[in-house]
Amino acid sequence: MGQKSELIQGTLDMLVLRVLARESVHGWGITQRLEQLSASALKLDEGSLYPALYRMENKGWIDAEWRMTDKGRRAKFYALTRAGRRQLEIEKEDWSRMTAIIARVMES
Amino acid sequence: MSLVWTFFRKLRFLRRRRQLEAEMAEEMSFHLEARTEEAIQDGAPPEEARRAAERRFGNVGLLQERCRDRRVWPWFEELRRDLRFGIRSLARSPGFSATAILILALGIGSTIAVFSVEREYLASVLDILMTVVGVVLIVGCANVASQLLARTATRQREFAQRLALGAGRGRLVRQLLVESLVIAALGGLAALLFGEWGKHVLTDYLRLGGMLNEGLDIRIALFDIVVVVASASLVGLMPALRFSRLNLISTLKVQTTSIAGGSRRGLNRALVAAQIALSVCLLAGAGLFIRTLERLEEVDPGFDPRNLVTAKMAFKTGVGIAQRAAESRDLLAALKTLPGVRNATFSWGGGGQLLGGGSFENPQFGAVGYVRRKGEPVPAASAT
Repeated sequence: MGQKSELIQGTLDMLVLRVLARESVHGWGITQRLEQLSASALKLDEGSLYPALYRMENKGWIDAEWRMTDKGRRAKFYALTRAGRRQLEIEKEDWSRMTAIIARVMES
Repeated sequence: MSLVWTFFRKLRFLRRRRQLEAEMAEEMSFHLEARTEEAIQDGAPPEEARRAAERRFGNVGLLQERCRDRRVWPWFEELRRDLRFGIRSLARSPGFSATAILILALGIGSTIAVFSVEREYLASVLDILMTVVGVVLIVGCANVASQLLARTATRQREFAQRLALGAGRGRLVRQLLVESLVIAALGGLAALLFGEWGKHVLTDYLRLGGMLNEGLDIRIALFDIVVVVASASLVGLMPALRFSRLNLISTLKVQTTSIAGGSRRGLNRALVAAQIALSVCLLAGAGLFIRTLERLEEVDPGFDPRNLVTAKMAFKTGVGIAQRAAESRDLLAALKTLPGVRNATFSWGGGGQLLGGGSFENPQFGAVGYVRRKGEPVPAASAT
């Protein structure tokens, strides 16, 4: 098993929005998907996930709804709103611009 | 647009607070269970799986706290906590709280009672009364402030402990402000009741019915609120400034402190006594003033004052006596020709200062009386 990386500061929102852009899912599911998508390379800390979810719900980027899981348990499912989709685009652009800048500095 | 939306969203969160709290707890316990199950499927013993999940999840209470802060305005949550803490700490010293509330109630209440006497009856004595009212209020506020100061002095250890445990000084200042606001709010409420009672005293014992504003005057209520908020901030800030220079180590080392010494306590008592005396004076004085005015109106002037209209006029400085006499006679003649006027006259007032300014030298007053017939409007009287 490879070494797990902590999230880079400020990327949590973008990653969560990215996961929710594919499908609506509950908090536990978000941590699972993120591990799958990163091939178990990323470790998402619950202590930062839930405050982030509540914050983004508050900003109107995501919506929450109580539904049944496949196993018949009640869970809170999060889904992207239109504002959230816009935000994801913004953060993606910021991210690629920032990585390009950093890459240029590091390779100079 | 989104700001308004956020506002309503937060309002909704506040309203559905209890339900949302339960949902938050459910959501997190779901997460814990799911992680535990995963570990069990990976072959871990249930007990160990549960513990590992909890370890990874961290402090649930702290996490919920942070989520809550994201959801509603953090200041609102803190205000709620401050309020609860403030009320608890005031309830721990009921004697102090009751005294402070009573002092405020007395100060503001007597002001309310006096202010609800119709202004016109007070026109001439209003200035005096206002001064007394102001003094009573200031003494009242000084009373509460000194009580709070004395209390703060005895609580220095508590504050030092909280500062040592990591509370910000701003937090403690806010705590004190909230406490004094609670006192002031309760005092303001009690003042409304006391003011009502004071009005009854004025009506029943001094027979001033009809001269009092019925019901609660909105201006008086506003005045009450302004005084409450102002005195609370004043009274709360003084002790706050005092302990913000607190030396933690020396304060914590001292086992018991009694900084509220005898002389200060004596001063407190004197202030309380002075306030009560002044409040009583204020109430009695207001009543007596009005009673006198009422009596004056009942005095028989020796003529029938019905259908009598009077007016005053004053000449500018530099107008000669001959010119004044001529102008007065002209005015009188013109008044006598007005329809409905049966008779008119004027008299010279003596010299003296004019109310509201000294720009008139040796002023002359003329009074003109006339009687109108039934059904005719009163002609407009003019004065130069």
